[in-house]
Amino acid sequence: MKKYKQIISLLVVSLIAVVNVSAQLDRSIRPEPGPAPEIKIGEHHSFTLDNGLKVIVVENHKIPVVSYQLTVDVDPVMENDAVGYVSFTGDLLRSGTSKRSKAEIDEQIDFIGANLNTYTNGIYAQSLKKHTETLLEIMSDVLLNPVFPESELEKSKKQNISGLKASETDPNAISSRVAQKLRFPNHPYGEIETEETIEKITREKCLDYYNTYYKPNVSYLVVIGDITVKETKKIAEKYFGQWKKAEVPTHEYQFPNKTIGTRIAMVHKDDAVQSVISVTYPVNLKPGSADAIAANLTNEILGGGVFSGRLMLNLREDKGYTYGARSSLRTDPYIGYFQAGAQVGTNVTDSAVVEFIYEMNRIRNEKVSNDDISLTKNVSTGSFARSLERPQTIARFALNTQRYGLSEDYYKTYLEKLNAVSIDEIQQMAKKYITPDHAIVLVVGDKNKLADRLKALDADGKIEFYDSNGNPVKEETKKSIPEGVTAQTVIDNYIEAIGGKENLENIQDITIEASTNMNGMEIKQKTYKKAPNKFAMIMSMNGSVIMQQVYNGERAIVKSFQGEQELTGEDLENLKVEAALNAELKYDELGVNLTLESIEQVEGKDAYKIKVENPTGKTTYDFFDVESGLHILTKETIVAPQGEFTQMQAFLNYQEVDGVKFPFTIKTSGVQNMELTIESIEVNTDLGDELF
Amino acid sequence: MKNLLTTLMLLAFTSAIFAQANKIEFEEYDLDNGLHVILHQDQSTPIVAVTVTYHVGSKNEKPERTGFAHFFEHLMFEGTKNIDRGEYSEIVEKAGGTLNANTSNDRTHYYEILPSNQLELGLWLESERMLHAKVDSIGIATQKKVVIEEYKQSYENRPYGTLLIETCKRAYEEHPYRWTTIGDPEHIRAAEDHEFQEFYNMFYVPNNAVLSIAGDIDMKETKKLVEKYFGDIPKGTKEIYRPNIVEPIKDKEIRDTVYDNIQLPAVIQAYHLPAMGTEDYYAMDLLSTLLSGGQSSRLNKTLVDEKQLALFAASFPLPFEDPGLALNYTIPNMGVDPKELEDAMNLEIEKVRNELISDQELAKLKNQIENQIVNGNTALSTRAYNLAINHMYFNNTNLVNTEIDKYMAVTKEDIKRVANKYFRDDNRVVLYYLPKSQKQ
Repeated sequence: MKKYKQIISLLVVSLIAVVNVSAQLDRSIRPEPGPAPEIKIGEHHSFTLDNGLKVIVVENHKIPVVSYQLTVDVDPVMENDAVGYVSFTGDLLRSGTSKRSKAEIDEQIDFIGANLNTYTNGIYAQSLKKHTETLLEIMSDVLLNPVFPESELEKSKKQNISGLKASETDPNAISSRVAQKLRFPNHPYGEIETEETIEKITREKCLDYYNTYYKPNVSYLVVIGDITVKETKKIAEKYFGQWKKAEVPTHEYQFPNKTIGTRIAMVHKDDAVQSVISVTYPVNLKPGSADAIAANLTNEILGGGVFSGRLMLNLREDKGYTYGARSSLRTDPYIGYFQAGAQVGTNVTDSAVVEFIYEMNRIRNEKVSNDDISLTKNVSTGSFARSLERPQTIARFALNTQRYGLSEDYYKTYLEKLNAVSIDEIQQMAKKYITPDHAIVLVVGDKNKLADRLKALDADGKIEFYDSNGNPVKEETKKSIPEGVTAQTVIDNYIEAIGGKENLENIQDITIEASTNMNGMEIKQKTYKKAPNKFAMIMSMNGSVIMQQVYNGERAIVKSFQGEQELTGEDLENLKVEAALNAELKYDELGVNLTLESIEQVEGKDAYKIKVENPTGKTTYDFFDVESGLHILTKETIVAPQGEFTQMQAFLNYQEVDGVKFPFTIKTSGVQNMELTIESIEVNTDLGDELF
Repeated sequence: MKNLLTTLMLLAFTSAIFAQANKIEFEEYDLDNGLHVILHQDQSTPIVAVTVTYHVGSKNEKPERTGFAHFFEHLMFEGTKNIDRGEYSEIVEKAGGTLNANTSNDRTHYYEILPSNQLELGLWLESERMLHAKVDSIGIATQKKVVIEEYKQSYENRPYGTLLIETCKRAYEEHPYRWTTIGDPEHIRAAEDHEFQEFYNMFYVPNNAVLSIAGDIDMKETKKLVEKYFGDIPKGTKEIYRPNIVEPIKDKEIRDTVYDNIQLPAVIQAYHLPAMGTEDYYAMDLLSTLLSGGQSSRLNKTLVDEKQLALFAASFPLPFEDPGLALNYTIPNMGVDPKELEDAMNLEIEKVRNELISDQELAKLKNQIENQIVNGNTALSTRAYNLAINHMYFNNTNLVNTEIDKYMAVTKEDIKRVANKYFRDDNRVVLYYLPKSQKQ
């Protein structure tokens, strides 16, 4: 019995002990950090080859991989009418050498499981250690013997132009391109690629740039990974030693003049429901300069961080104007820049601009709090420490140290310098680098709704207007619609211009043959229309039909290789209007609502803008040339998951067929870009009903 | 177009990132409450990755309550008994760290990367989450909105965003892989608070989790801290639901069309596969690499470069714990009939079924896989993760060091054999993604 008791009491004791142990942990107390760890930055070594190539080595033997990054460090050049050739030169290095075709390079790189990328003034290559010499052989071939094949250049032009087209209507892309151009006038940084400049790029231009600037004495080779300094010396000499040095031209550019007073600039986007705001200006802030660390910390407080920046707290958390508002301050050896931006609703655009300027002034005029500065220092310290995990960071530090002539201990003492920044210094930096009075405020949005409201924020009360390539648009004094002109007179005038009511009414059916080009393939389109509203369209490629649509006035069917589908609902209702022969004669009957909105410029000509509303509510805008009366453009805003797009159809090259004028060229741009060429139009050929 | 391609590239993740040439050293043990602990020391940078992986994914959900596992990934940032709402992320950021989480069909993974002197903070945060996260009506209501919004943004409104959903729905009849992690927003909407609490009580328990820590740590000290914060978290009392459902073997091709907000169509083929970790899986992974790994791979070379039928081609196995799928998908060039493209894809499939690949190609595949594996383990956080799931799925943490051997053992004959075994018409789903405009 006694024994049992003992056991029980032991159990009780041990139970209590267990309870006690857990009770000791008060989970409401947050653990304090241990002593701050010493942040050591990995070693790097550097040497220079006889031809002047500077080599930086960061040994990292954790995994058996070596990477090579070659940077040609030359002054930017003005590319003038052929903007893009410098980046094309870089991209095309990999597409053929005097020893290897592009396919051979692909095959050989894949065979060793490696990566090889070339880009503006640089090459990056990476593979397992054991394949390193094979990789270097290809890398040095690509660097030393590129041939810039004409066919690859053409392919690349096509891809780049499609890329530009795809982003032509994207307000964020427009904003960043135009901001770049406005920020850096007369400087290579302000040159932007357009379809025209890409067309002007030639093989000779690339070759010439390559021959002039790709020289070892202005280049750095950064080697990272499972390799020793001794090995690097050997292979650098072997694969890059024969690269010939030569004098490379240098260029100097003037720093842009300071903008005096806040400048408001706009790129108009018809019926945009959102605006993209960008507050920006160039700054003279070089990497590693005395101000760089404190100035960046200042920007972090203003508009950095995930949710903690002041712009975010004000514009998102407090006002709910936007999903995100941020700012950045970029150092650069030539010209740096400040940029703050957000995407906001049209109706709060001016209020949002006011808040941007308010926050920029606040950080200049009021000292930041202890909490502000310590939180930002913590975040910056943490991200600096985490970045050191990647050997690439060590290499970047080494490269910057050499490139920008930084003191050897610049990065070693980076955190000390960061933590030493005082509240007063933050204010000094803000006064120097956060300058709303010298800023350009670029708004991509609907000028009709915004121009008047934004005017008040401009220093001289005048808004500058630009097109989506940053070219100035003549300031339009809004023309008033002449007395007596209404939507109906514009339509009547148009009917007269294309041949008159009588001639139009004579038409019983139309057959149109057209063609277009898609990715080098010709697509034929045959359209039939018959009074009152029968419609058929057949699209074919290489003689085989790819799509067919018919509408007999009641039912609409679309046939494709996927089978048949019948149109219903709004789509069918819209087709009823669109299929009507001579719809312009019977808008009333079709229930279409017309409103004459304004006179606007289309390709430099005045045009009446008419809002066309179908009974379904579908809205488009038709533009009629004031002078000729012809219908020259239709615009439609399409709301897609990716955002808003403007789809435009321009009607050109009107020619007469049986007394009625038809456009013989139709250019579509926006979501889809293509040019439709009308090959023939025939009228009244007695089309049979079986076609529909 | 660039965006569209990136979206697809994101889908085209590969799974073979488990091993590496230099051995990863680690220690592992269980706490009394069943929590499995893995510690990996690497003192080259003064940071530490604290990760907790729960063995619960969408496959552990009830068919009428899909999307729960992913919902919890959101809920677990709402706070705990000792951490106020919205404070969880802020604490990490203030400490100079970063954090995130993600959910798959098989597991839910949480991590913090912190300066190494904040290890204890990371352990406290994760122990709070495991012991008494806030699973209350306010948090549930907030996250319901967020998750439903996420469904719209990332799935419904993203071009090809529903690709996996539509594929899995047709590929599986029985197995819970028939729904994907996002689940059905209606299920989330309809769920009552107590259901979330029951889910938390069943799955968020130490005996269903792996705590994997990698970085600049002192092993002895770390073990003490782990015991301090996790030792007294009670073991789960409920039996953990692990579906034991075997998908019936397929004998008929499934073919369908999905209309989406896209500019260009897509052709997807999904073939049933053996589970990750089996011999055949490794061979299939190499076969996928043969088809689409690198610019000189078969689909890229034939369909994209030579015939110019496709703008983009990819092939990859889904890395699932239970038998998954191998996906081949392509986007036709503008004006190309998807059917013509599919025929060309099928020709390539025929070729791997009928002909042995060359020695040169086999060597290329192994070189590519080797590079991929070696580079896949560089970041501390991925190392911690890979260690955790190798234990969780295969009860073999050291697979992180030996998996490469499994790939190296694959022969040309194996590749032909698995091509015939799995790349069968009657073992696949074929989906055409077409622009909505073509539906009309």
